[in-house]
Amino acid sequence: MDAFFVSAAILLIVGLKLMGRAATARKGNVLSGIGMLLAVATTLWAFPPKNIWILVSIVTFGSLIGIWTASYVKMTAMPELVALFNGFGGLASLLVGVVEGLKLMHTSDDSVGTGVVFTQVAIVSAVIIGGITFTGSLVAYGKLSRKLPSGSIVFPFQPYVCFALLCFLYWSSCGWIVSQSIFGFDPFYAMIAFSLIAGILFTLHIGGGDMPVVIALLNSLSGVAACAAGLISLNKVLIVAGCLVGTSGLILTLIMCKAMNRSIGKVLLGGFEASETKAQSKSSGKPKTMMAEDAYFPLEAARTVAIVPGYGLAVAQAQHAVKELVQKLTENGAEVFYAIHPVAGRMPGHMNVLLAEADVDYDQLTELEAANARFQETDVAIVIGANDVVNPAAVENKNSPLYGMPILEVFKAKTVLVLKRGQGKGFSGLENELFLKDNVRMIYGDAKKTLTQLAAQFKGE
Amino acid sequence: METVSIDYGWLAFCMVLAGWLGFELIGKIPSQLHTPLMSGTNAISGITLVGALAALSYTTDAITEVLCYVAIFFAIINVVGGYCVTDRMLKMFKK
Repeated sequence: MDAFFVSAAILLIVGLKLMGRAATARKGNVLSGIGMLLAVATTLWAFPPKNIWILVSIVTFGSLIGIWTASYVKMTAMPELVALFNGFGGLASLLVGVVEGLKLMHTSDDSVGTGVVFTQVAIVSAVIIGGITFTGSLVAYGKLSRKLPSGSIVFPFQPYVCFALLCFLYWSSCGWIVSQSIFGFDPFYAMIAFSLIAGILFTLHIGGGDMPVVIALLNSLSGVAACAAGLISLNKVLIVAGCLVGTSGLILTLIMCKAMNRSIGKVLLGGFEASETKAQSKSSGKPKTMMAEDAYFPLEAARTVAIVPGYGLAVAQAQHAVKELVQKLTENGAEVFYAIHPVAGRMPGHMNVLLAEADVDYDQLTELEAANARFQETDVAIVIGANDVVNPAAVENKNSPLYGMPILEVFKAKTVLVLKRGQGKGFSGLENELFLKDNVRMIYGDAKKTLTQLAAQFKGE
Repeated sequence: METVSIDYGWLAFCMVLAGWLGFELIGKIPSQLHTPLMSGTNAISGITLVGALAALSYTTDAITEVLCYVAIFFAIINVVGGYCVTDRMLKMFKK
């Protein structure tokens, strides 16, 4: 049996390895799926279920729901789907912890050894981390799908309430491990409740702009929860896969934090909103606007064009319109590249998926450093619904909270066209000094409409 | 529950090794692949399904049995949905 579990773990690892390269990624995913199947089959063989028919119907029903959602979800809705699935995984780990805990409470009257304490600690970890992952992911899902307000939700005495909750959580879990009864009351159920509330409280105040970091972190936590569930029954494949997901999620979180110039602590405490008011930009002046019709001339003359897509492009669902404009530009003899910031979109790498859906050539997608090296020779850079990731304050203004954040240096291009819905600010709530520069023209309005308009002018020829 | 002797050293070794592997495998991948990778690892985290299946086989009362079924239900959505949606994304990248 162990041999099968080890093979399953190896398949998962090799699959993950292959997923690190675009050419082999799909094969890697299939391989990891086979590993999962092997792990499940081995478990069914080793622990035959009492009632196979109930199990089969549940598995079929769940699989159909999974396949159906996966096939029909829009690519723009990918972040909330990942958050939701992640929450389900957390819930499953929580329930495994609860089941094992209840079982332990019914049977352990005499045997109190280190083994039992170890199992109890594992149960507590699975319940708490699973619970936090579950409700935290649900809140993230709500914010991303706009069923909840996407901004930071703050209530009075929040830090104190969170701290008190942590104390309760600690107290109830320790209480359960030591005595299984506090004031004649079983702290196990209190622990479940506290962990569910904790998940909500910890994510509620995190603003929409920090969501990429939060999803990555919750993803990591769901792995840790699975690992904890594995420690309860000492299941090797669970432990290995859980650790793997835990650290890979953690490293993605750190990459995201670095790309946004934020520390994990700051994201979790939601400190951004508080500091923004202090750093008002001192430069005055008005951004220069331009009508879409007038943009034809610089675009027509341009030899090199950079497309800088951001969150706004995803919101306006303009990825197909962009592709169309790029086609016209290419036919016109211009060389076009997409400059993609690591946090463009609403989850890590989201923009690449959106552009891939619109059939954009993979080779045209340029990463941060490569793009920055090309802006100097770029005739026109078109910024579509991106704001903070192109804010020059990150390199020029030492007082800006953005200072130090790696940005796309579009201001180096000869002309910059900024497509923007309105005069609002970015997620950080900061003025963007880019819009005031001499070589920048603003085109206000719906990005999709503007892009279609621009492309239509080329058709006129 | 009978007391099982647990080899803590071996366990710690396994966890450190798996954790280190996670760091190594993900550390250097291009940012283009971050979303499919997240949804892929998300599907892997549904491996807790295995824990739920194992727990189901030795349940003694109705409550724990139902809880196991609920866990299996949600875990299977996570696993199947996660793998399918990852495949759908990667299929687009391939072209």
